[in-house]
Amino acid sequence: MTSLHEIESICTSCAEGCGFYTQVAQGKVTNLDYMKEHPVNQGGLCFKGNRVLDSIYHPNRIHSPLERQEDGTFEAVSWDQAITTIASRFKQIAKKHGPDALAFLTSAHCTNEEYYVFQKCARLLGTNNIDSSSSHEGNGTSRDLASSLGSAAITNPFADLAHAQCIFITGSNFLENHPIVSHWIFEAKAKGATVICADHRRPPSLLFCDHFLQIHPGTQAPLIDGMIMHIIEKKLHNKHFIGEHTSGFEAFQKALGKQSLKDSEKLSGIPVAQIKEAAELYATASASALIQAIDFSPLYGNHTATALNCANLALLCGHLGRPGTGVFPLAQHSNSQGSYDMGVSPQALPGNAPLKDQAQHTRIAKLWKTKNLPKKEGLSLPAVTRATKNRRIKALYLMESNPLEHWIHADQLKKLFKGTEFVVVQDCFLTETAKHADIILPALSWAEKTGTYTTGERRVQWQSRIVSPQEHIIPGWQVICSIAQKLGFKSQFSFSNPEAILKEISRLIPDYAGLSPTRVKKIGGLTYPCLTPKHPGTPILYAEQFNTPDGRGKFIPVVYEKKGEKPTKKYPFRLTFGKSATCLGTLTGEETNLRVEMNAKDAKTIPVQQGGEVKIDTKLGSVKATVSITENILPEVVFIPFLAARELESPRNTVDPRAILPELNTAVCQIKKSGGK
Amino acid sequence: MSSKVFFVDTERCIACQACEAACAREHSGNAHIFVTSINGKHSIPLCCLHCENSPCVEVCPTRALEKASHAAVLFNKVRCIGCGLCIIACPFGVIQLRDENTVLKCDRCINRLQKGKDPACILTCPTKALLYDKRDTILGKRRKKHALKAKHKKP
Repeated sequence: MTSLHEIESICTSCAEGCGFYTQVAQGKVTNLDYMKEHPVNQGGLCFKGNRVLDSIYHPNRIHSPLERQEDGTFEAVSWDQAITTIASRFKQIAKKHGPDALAFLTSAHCTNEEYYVFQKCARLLGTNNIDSSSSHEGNGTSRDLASSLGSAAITNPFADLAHAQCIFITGSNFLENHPIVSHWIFEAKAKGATVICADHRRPPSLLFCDHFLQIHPGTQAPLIDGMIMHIIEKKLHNKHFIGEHTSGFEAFQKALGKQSLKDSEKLSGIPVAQIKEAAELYATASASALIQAIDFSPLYGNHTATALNCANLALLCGHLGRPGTGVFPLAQHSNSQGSYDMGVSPQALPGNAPLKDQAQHTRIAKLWKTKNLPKKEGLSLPAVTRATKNRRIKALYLMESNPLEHWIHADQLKKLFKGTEFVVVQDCFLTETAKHADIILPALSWAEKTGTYTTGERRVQWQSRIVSPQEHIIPGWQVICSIAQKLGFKSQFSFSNPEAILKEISRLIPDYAGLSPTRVKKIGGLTYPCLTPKHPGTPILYAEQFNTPDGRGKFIPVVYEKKGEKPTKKYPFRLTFGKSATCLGTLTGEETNLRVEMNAKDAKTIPVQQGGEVKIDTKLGSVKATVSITENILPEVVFIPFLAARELESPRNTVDPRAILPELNTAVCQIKKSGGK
Repeated sequence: MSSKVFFVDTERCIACQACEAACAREHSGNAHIFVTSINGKHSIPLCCLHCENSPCVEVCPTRALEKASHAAVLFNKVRCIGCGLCIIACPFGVIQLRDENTVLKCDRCINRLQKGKDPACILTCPTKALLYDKRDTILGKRRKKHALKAKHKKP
């Protein structure tokens, strides 16, 4: 008999955190099987989930540390040598230019333990220049909720959607990106719930919603404004809830004063009658939930406004703190929630503690045995990129982050790499970003890692090691600890395993206090806030009160600005991006044929036929793509499923002031027929 | 054990293609299920229905296709001569011919069924649009759902 055994695993393809079993025989991964008992997916796995094993034995993986030689080629070096070089170069640069000349960048694909030691190392070195590139790829909106509701996270678990009577979905590509969450929508529907979906592109199935509002790209905020105005006018708002649990309602009402439903119609393209109907359905249902789906690319530039307006709408009707209610900002990448919780942010310490919070600052400094915990706000990824002009950044450490391929402003990033003295990239593959490194360290694939991931519903789950690391690759947390120890932080980084790091995390972050390794290793893990070792976890937030200083949910008026480029005669199309259901995204670095979706009317005027080749031009660059004609998209809008952002850049470096997200999705373009037939 | 049937809740299919990926994973990279769009508005996953009176079995001159256990129409490569008659006979277009004499078609995950596990496409379906159960159970659920819907639609 073969020694086949099944290991409980967590899918890291997205932030849903589905469980499954990996089958292993003689130390090799052979296949997977479904985990019916998992609370999130109940056995189901999407397209990406079924392909999750592909990256483990990918032939392009890096197996040994590589150092750049004088002639620009890379040569294999020993782990010892690589770690020693990194430590001495960082020490030298920090001494010469000060700690703020260092910058640390990661993504949403690491474990909580890796993030924790990474940001701890950066902060002990004396800088808050630490950020996650994924928070600039459309994972940021849960953070916007912190200002109005108190916690930078989803309010209710996904499965709770099944208890909703009305579900309002905004954002884009919901079905494609969240098939597992959509299961709970169908369960709600089976119990009689009404589902409303607002997106600029028609979803692959219209049967999942009762009302579909095809809005102009990026106009969710004014649509919700219209709903809010109608609810107030019809006196459908929850006056008791507003009086008892919220603040700022009068100022909010005043700020709305100048607008009218007609404005919402004009901006969003949805007739007043339909806006009214949606508003009444949401307000009058006994439990209503709001979903905000954010797609791959930095989206629209107005999604901070959308997130805040979702919170406003929920506060207005009192649809918070109960089963079937809540606001669901759905993140894209596996551990974006965890990265923020662990303090991978230039503005917040672990546990989302603001740098300005003196009490927290002192407490953390004491636990970390340091007197020099930096207080100055660090540079975010966009700020680091902009810092090329005065060459403030001299050394960069990128842990499984590939901004050159997954972010915009490629030219500026290249300048940044050129201007720095020393770049370290830790990754599974030789990415475009890694090619600019001085030292490349191999990283482990998800199946070789151990540690916790925090899913988009605040569920902290343990990933066990499924196979032994290839070619003695050292785990990310251990690499960071070795470097930090060489930098002189011996006692602060004397962790022997990820469990030990998790124990320190639960000492440091109050919400994680009850999350012991034994507890999170059970199937389904635990949902934080989990305050004591016996605490059952808190799937639904705000049952008693909000986490704001006064315990009240805050209405924040949203000003919708029409930003970005307007279509012109020369560039008549609005260019939008997103993932398709089958896009494996970022992990394996596979190239797929570029496809552009457009309306039949537009195809006629270009003119081009189904499958024809076109050249898409923006003011900055151009790409070629194959045309796919569909009725799912509005005229004068085109959609590209998953575009490697480096090829087409948004011309303006517009940054949304609050979420610091660059708006890529407001670019305009021209499309011309190209090639032969 | 009365046999279970393959069933689709067409309202729930969101064209995510998870079933295709799961099927390909179970069958050395070849999917035997096809998510097929209807009017561009919704989709249904199509695969071999293992018909009671299977035309493919009837036309096969060498009995390479046969009704076997679990009411599954199974393919036997050794007997196949690659004539392609089964492909012509199948009204659903879900039998494919690869190479000279290899027919690709759904085997109902017979290897999984024999171990007491449901087919991969059924389990993987994120929205539970694919069902594998006794026909009576499924129809009972459907009636109940319809009754509930009618109840909720009441003002």
